[in-house]
Amino acid sequence: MIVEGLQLKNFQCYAGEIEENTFRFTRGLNLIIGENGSGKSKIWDAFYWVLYDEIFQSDQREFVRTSVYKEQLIADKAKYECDRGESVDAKVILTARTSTNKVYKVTRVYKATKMEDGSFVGSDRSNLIIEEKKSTRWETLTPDRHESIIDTIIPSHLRKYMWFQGEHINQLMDLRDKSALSNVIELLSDIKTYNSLIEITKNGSRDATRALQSARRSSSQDSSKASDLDRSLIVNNDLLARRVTQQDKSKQERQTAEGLRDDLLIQVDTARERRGLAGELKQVEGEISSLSRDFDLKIEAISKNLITRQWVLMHCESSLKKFEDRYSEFDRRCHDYKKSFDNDVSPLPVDIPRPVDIRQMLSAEVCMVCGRDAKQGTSEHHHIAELLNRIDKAKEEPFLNDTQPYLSGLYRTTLEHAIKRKEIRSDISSEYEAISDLRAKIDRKNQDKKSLLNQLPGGVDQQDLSSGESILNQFNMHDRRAQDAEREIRECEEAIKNLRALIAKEGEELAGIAGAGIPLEKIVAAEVWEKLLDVAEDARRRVFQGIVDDLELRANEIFSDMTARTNSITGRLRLEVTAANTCIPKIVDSAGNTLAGSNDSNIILIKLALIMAVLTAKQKWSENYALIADAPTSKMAENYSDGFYAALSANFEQSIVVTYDFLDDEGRQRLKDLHIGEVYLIKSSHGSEERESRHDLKVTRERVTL
Amino acid sequence: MTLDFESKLGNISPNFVDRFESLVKSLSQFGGGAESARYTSGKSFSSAYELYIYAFFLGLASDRTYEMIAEEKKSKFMEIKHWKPAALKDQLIACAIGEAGIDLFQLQFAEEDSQVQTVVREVRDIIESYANGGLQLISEKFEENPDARHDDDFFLKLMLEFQKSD
Repeated sequence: MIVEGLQLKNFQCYAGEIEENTFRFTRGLNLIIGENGSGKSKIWDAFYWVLYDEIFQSDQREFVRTSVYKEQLIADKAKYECDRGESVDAKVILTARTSTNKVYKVTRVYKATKMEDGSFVGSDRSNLIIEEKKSTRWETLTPDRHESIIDTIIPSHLRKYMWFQGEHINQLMDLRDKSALSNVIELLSDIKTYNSLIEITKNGSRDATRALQSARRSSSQDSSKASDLDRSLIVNNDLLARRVTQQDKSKQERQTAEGLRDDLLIQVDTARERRGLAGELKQVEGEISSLSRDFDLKIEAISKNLITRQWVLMHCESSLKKFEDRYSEFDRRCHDYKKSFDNDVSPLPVDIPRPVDIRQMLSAEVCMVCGRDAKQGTSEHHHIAELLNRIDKAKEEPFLNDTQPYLSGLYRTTLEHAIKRKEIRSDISSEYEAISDLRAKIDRKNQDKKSLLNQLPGGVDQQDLSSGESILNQFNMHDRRAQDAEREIRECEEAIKNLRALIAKEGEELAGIAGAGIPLEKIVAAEVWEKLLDVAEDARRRVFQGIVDDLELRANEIFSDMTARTNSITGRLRLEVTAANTCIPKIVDSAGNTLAGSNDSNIILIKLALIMAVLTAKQKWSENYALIADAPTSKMAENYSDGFYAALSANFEQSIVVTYDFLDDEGRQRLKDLHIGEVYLIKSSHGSEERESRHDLKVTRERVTL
Repeated sequence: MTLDFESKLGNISPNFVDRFESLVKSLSQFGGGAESARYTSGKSFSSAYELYIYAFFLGLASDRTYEMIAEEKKSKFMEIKHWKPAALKDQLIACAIGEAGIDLFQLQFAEEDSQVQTVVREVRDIIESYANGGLQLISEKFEENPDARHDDDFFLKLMLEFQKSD
């Protein structure tokens, strides 16, 4: 089946009619090349949607059905230009030709109507039409044939191996996962028949043994002991089966845990170093942060200190001296004035002589103290009369407006702060020294940090250090899981050994007490079934190993082709089958030693080689169906991806790859020697400058000739 | 009467001329604000009066005065009695009294309120003259070097420039 065309109408970003969005394909490697965001993945979506009615949503990492995705299927430009009340549809047409030259056209349409409020109402389902080309017309096929036609284009069991996106590859080929390997083996072989055979022989063996035991019990003279032994054998066989199952599970668990642990092994030493470095760095950064905080606080406080620590007073001594001088003079003059004021007051106490005595003296016009006359109108009489006013005078203050308490307070303050003012300069110097000291400490710590960072290997930045702890935790966790599983395996092994010995002993005992006349066919049947079980298990093991060997051989041929252009990849691929029937892909040297340090590109390349090996190993599906991939090389370096395209071109009759490789002419020169089909360049563009709006988003395609 | 002189001094709301208004607002948390927000908002002083105190002592240190003429528009702000720290405020007043030609002794005999007011006005004039002189000097320095505004220790270094004979 060759895919001949894909046509889109208003499908996602492909606004416009079918004619504007038609891609033709031929045999060979077909490429649709575009920048990120140019609409590449929508091409892959179109392939998938037209056949399966589902869209892969990258953000949710799952396929969603049309009934969920609804009008998002339709190009925004088409929806924008649609009038209210009118309908608009998205359509994808895939055309394919079979090896017998039958041509089918698969069309899927989804329609929605624009409502008055501008919203869209679409149906929950799309319509699928499949037509077959007749000589002059297209004949519509009935829906009951749809599934078989789609299966002809791409068989459902191959779909995930032949139609994939870059991001699916890891999961698809995780061969450590038993189910992934089983899927591959089942795909490639009739291994299911062997599994059924084992199941049949196991049941047969169990039933034959049970029948033999039953016959022995029935024929025994000692029926009580025979019954006990028979019951015990039933119980112990059941226990044995459970233990074997449990041991298988533990082996699988050990295998998984060891695989994950061993994957990390190569990183452990580095992780330990990184954890150590991360610890040291954390400490240094903490110190830097604390010192920087102190430094910042000091810097922030410099202007503030001018006020709070009174540094502004550093130059004011001469003004304060003037104040002190003024105050001293003021104080002296106040003092002198007070003294003279005080001198004006009578030295006599205010109550001697008493006012009553004074009035008596004035009336008598005689001084009763000295006995002299004091006639009215004389100075003596006046002097005695003055004594009556001395009480009021004693109450008088010398100043009308005494500012002395306030000024002396100011003066006291200037004196009290004199020492502090003298220390301002040394205080400032100390502060500058402290700041300078902090700066030096920060510089030293930054140097320490730099030296620690210099110890990091090339290409590792500080952010990577945190991964050290995480890697060690994961490593330890998987190691513990492996140890726990190992312990359980040993316990099962011991239990299985004991149970087998017990069953053998009980079987012999039962045989010993059995009577004569046990049918020979029952004895023979038990022996034959047991042998058959051995044969079936051995056959399955050999078939399984054979498939893995074939797969390994084929994958190595492809891997070798792929890596022929790349000197940096050496060694060969080996598929290591484990006791738990899983398979670990490894790159080994000629002596079989695992080559350490496989990078992402290597791993993806191995997985792609395996996918190709699966598709080309026996059935030659690669000759009959198209491989359709979206960005398969997204995680690969350029020199790796060239090998992939070469292998694809050499091994597949048709492949259609959507990619951002080969964007320029020079890059496309590398395709010259390959078997190339059609090559398209796609580009998304906006009609206006309004890039936030998708109303005028359109994708244009250009066919490229190499 | 004792409290009159002190309270009248405390009630002084000194002026800065309006040409320095944007400077005052750009350098201080004019109208208040949390101290924690001072540095992050690019202010060197927590309040306008802190800047005013600084400007006064800068004017004094550099002997830079500003002639306050009636025609020039001015703005008042917080009264001196609310300025902190109190000891710094007292020393500022002491310096102003020291620089003013006041006969303190005569103040003891002032009989009328107007006599005290005259002395208080003299002190206020000294404060305003030096403070606005200081603001002018800061303004000139910023004009010479606009980056100085972002220098954390600009104000300290400016003050240290004046090694006056103390």
